[in-house]
Amino acid sequence: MKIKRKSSVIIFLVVGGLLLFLHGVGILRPLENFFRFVTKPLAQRFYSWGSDSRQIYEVSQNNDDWSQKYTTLQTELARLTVANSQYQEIADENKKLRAALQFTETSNFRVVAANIIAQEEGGEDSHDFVVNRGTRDGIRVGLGVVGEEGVIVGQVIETTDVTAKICLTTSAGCQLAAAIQNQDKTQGLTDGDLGLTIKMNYIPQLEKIAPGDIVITSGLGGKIPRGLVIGKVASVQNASNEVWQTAKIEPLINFNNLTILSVIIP
Amino acid sequence: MVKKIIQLFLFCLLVLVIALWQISFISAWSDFWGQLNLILMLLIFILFFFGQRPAFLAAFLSGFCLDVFSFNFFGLYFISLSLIIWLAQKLLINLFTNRSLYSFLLLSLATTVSYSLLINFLLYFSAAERISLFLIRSNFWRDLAYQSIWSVLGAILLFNIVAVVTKKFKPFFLEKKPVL
Repeated sequence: MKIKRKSSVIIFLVVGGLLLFLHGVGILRPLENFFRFVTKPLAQRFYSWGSDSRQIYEVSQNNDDWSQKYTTLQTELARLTVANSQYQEIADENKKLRAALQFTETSNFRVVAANIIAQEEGGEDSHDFVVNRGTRDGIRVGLGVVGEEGVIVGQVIETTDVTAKICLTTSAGCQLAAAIQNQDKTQGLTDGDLGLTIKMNYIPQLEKIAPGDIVITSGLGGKIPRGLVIGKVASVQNASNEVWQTAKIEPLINFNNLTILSVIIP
Repeated sequence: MVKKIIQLFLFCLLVLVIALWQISFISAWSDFWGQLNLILMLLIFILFFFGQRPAFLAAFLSGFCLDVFSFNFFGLYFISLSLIIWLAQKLLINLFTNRSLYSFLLLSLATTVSYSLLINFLLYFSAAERISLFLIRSNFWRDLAYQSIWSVLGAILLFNIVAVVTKKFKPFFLEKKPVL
């Protein structure tokens, strides 16, 4: 009995060692890719069920807030409708002027839709998504990722042939070159804060930032286009004895409800 | 022979589906609900009721599945899960000699704590960047507490299901017989 038990441990040690070796030299890669390819649809379905059930649970927990949220959203909708009509006018005017000046379209990037198949705990206070698209679909490290509403939610940090890992803008270490839509067009670097909010550091004291200002990607670095909304300024920390000021940015969408993402390929 | 192959195939399929459920469904949840470790529960259940070999096989399969979908270093999960099964087997032979609910509960709890510590230690030592030690992070202790609660709840549920279905296992050693 003891010999049998020992032999099974030895078998598993040998198989384990062999697996590590084969993975290390890359022989296992086709098998891993095949396994990912075969199981991706099921993983995608499971994630979708998990996300849906979580949303149902959260809705049942927050029933009391709905009437208040409804009133706030109605006001917000009215304001946005007015703003949208104004922007539509400006867009039409812009189109006509561009045509008159024979300008080419500026937003000529490709978008790859991807489904989230898993979530992974990152290092400190970080939370990452795993999506069902990889290098075979043209995804590279550093590309920007937007949610269904067009708000940037993070960037690609690792890839395999058929999957990619995406860090959320709220995850510590997930940094984006950003600009604030204020008078000074303040530039800076955003970083995740405790997996909940985003902070923008190294803003000179003289720059004027106010809560409510919209923060967008600055386009510096070249992999993420300019103008993607990151969030809006929630508060500003500017102690007079400090060289820099810090802005706390609130994401515009709930990242927990995401199931489909779009990777922007410039 | 054919029956055995079919049984083995179904066993592997079940383990893989549960591993995928853990990776995708449970990871979509957060806080308390997201800390349910279904794979570890299943492995301890298999070890406790069916023995070491199927438990090792399940640890390998589920670990491989987790490793393939994870972006951590390859082998993290199948090495950790196999080590935990080996540790659980040692505990089962040397400490928890009877097959009672209390043994199952303690075994589940011990493996949950060991697995969490092992995984975090391996991640800490393999991290490319300097990160703070997980032991001083409140999140780690909170998640460990949640995982422990889940493992106790899961153990009670699984043991009672088996006790009802097979009528084989009972927490007999605490039952007092009436004195005649």
